Amino acid sequence: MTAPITTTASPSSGAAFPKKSYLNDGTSIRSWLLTHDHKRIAILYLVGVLIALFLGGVFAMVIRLELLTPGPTIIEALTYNRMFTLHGLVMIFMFMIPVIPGVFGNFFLPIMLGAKDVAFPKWNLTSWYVYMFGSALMLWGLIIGGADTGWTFYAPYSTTTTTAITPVLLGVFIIGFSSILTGLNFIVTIHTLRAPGVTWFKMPLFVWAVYATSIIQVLATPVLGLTTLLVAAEHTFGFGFFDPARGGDPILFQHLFWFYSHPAVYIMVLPSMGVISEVICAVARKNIFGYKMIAMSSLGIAFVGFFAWGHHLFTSGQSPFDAGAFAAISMLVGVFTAIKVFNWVGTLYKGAIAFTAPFVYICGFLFFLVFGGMTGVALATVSLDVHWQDTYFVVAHFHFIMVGAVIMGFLAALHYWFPKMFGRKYPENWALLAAGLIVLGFNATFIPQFLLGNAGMPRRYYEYPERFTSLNVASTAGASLLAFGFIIIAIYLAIALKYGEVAGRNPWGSRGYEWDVPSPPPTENFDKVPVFTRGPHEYQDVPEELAKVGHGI
Amino acid sequence: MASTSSASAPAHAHGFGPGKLLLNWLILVCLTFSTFGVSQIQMPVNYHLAAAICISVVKTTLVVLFFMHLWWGEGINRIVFLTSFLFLLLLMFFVMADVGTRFTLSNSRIAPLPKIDQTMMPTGMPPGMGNVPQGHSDGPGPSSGKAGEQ
Amino acid sequence: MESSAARKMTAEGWLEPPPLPHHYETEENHKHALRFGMWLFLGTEVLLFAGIFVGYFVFRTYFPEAFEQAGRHLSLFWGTANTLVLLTSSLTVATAHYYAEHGKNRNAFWLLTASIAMGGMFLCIKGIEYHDKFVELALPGKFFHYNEITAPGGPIFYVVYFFATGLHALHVIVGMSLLTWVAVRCWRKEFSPQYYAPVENAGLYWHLVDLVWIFLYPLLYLV
Repeated sequence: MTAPITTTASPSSGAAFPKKSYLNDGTSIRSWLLTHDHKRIAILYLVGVLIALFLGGVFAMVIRLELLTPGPTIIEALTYNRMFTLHGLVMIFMFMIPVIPGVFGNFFLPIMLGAKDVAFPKWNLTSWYVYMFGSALMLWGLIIGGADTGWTFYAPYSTTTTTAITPVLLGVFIIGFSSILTGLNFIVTIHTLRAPGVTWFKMPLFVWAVYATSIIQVLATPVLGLTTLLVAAEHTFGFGFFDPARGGDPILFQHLFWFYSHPAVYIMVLPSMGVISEVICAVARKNIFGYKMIAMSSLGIAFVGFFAWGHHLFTSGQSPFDAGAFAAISMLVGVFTAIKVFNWVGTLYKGAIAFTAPFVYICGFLFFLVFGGMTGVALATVSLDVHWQDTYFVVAHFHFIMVGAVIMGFLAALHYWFPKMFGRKYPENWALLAAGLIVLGFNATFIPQFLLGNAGMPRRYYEYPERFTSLNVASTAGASLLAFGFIIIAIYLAIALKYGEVAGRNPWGSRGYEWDVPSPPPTENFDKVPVFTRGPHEYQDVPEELAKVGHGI
Repeated sequence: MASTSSASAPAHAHGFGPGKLLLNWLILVCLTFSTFGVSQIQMPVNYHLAAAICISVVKTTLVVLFFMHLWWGEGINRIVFLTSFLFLLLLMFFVMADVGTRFTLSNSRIAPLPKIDQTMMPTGMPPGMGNVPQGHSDGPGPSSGKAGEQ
Repeated sequence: MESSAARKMTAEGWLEPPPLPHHYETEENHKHALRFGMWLFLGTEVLLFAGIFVGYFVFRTYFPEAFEQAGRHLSLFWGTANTLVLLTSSLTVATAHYYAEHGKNRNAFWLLTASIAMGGMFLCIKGIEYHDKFVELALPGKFFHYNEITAPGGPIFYVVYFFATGLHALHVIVGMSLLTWVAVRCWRKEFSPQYYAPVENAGLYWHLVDLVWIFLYPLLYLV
């Protein structure tokens, strides 16, 4: 009944593109829009998030262009406020939160568990429609007048602003539902659909990361939902929940908002860490160092991340007791992250590394995660945060994590799994060039921002004093490099979709479970229920054929 | 746990029959009336709050265990429900700790600072002497306690 | 939602269960997954209401007298009636689940109909209470003009009151819709000992709606 899967890597040259796969199993638009196949839903999500990434990037460039000069440059002040609100909302809710779970989680979670689909395929499709509808509503609100509150829509400004905030808030509420549905689906899948042999500690680390992420999604997102409803109600009806003049408490808003939004950053970063755990083994051709520690630290980050939200309120007026407690707990997250970083470095040590684009992204990830993380611990120190709060120091810190860590992880995933998802290889030289541009451009964009923030430049400011000009120009130049790198990636990946060299089943010679199925996989993933006889990330006892193939690029 | 497929009504591994469900309901109704009864007793308001919440928790437990079948349910479902409650408590704890320790000077449990009538100053009387209006803040409140004014 | 048209009537008087989805190996596993998924969703609902309960306690701390006064001016009669209505509807829903699990679809149908009716009753009573508040001008925020509440903080109490009970009423409506859909399927005799998950899951949702009210009632009306 069940067949053990072997791990022979197929040599890439002369590999034939599979005749039937999930890509051509039904070619009408209807077969895509009404699909239950988790892989097709992953591609639908990919389309959505790429549009979001593009839009968010455009808004970022508008911001950086405006900040080229101390005074007005290309837009006026209200438009500038709308731009950073747009940039934040689109990037966070339409890109960062859904990207890795929605695309790579959806595509690979069932395959990595030996399952044929996620637990509730119809709810999976529904989550995509909810995501698209919520995004459309949010964007429409931003177009018809746009919010100017920043993505954090603090009350009482958000409850009194004349801009069209209600459709934006409702859009966020609806997108939140999509996040909950995805998380719920993944948790049930991991608990109930593991194939025989895939015990909890035989699951790939990407699955552990997605599991921890899904728990956060399920527990935290409802509080955001309530908060958006409260703000919308207060904005529409003048309730006064958050308005001191009517007896309300604006700090209550911040508590409710950040109770979600701080765990949200772990929703963004944990899947990226899971990707790194997968890719680093393949790139170094070594077992992961410290499997259990990495798995448990994912859960640890998810847990401790819920106890840290008050560090966003240090200068808002919360009590010193709370501030102290939150400061201490926030630093704990660094412990779990450090465990992971040491384990990853331990994986690279004495590995047989090939210098490929995914490896460049891993290097970028490690460097930026450490810097971003350490500045995070610094910001958790209340006495320091008093000076850095609401300056570019904070902006640089979270961009180091969000762009530096999460997007590096996203790009690593995109390149590592491109052959599996589409059956073709991308051009490695162009990929290395783009990766280099991205890493360089990233540094050039955000290191000046640390310096700006430390020198006192506030965030979300339309104008700034003359003395900050050169650093702002440097940051904008870096952003242009970054944008250029992304454009190059978009071009060669689009070309590779059709004209890339046929990849074969396992061009990387990876021992991940997903590399045992054809590239691209058939709709049913497996013919029979697979039995996994090896552990995840197992590069010991490599069969001879695997050793010969090498990295396959 | 669940019955294997069979053509006729299976022996049930879990769930009360209508009789026991009715009994559960009766207990819940009695608890409702007891909540009402306790609320009529004269005692400090914090005791009322505590008692109300305790009885609600008992009622919740009965509904969750016997109407929602968690008594016979898989462990993971119990963990899910408990976890969501625990995180509710987490949010509650830190927010209430903030509210409780934020206004250390105007907190009603600590004696408020006496108000000094500044209008007495021009006459040469030292502040705090003479006709000083005894104003207190009316318990803790955000800003200047003018909350609620329209 | 599996179509009942393709399923045949069995000898026991209920439709044969829908086929097992292709990605599950056993029916037991599928049932467990459905139940587990529903409990996860209930967990999210608990956290949705968490914020408004936090708001209640925060503003109670700021305005204790106003909250007590306003609570006394709510109709204890209607509030208690609503509590009993919801508790009874929970009973009927739980009993309907029992009957559906035994394949007694018609019994389940009538019990579910009773539950839906009680849900409607709850909404009517709530409507009466809201109407009274509108007449007295005991309204939230800037609409507040209720002289009976002399302590500061009256408008905020009504913000909490209307938002909490309004959000709850929305969930009652959703619950009634779910129960209606399941009741229709009971009428079609879809449920059997092998297949009753929709009744169970709709029931779980309804019980959660009841649970929220179990906490709202004493906090708003009694303390």
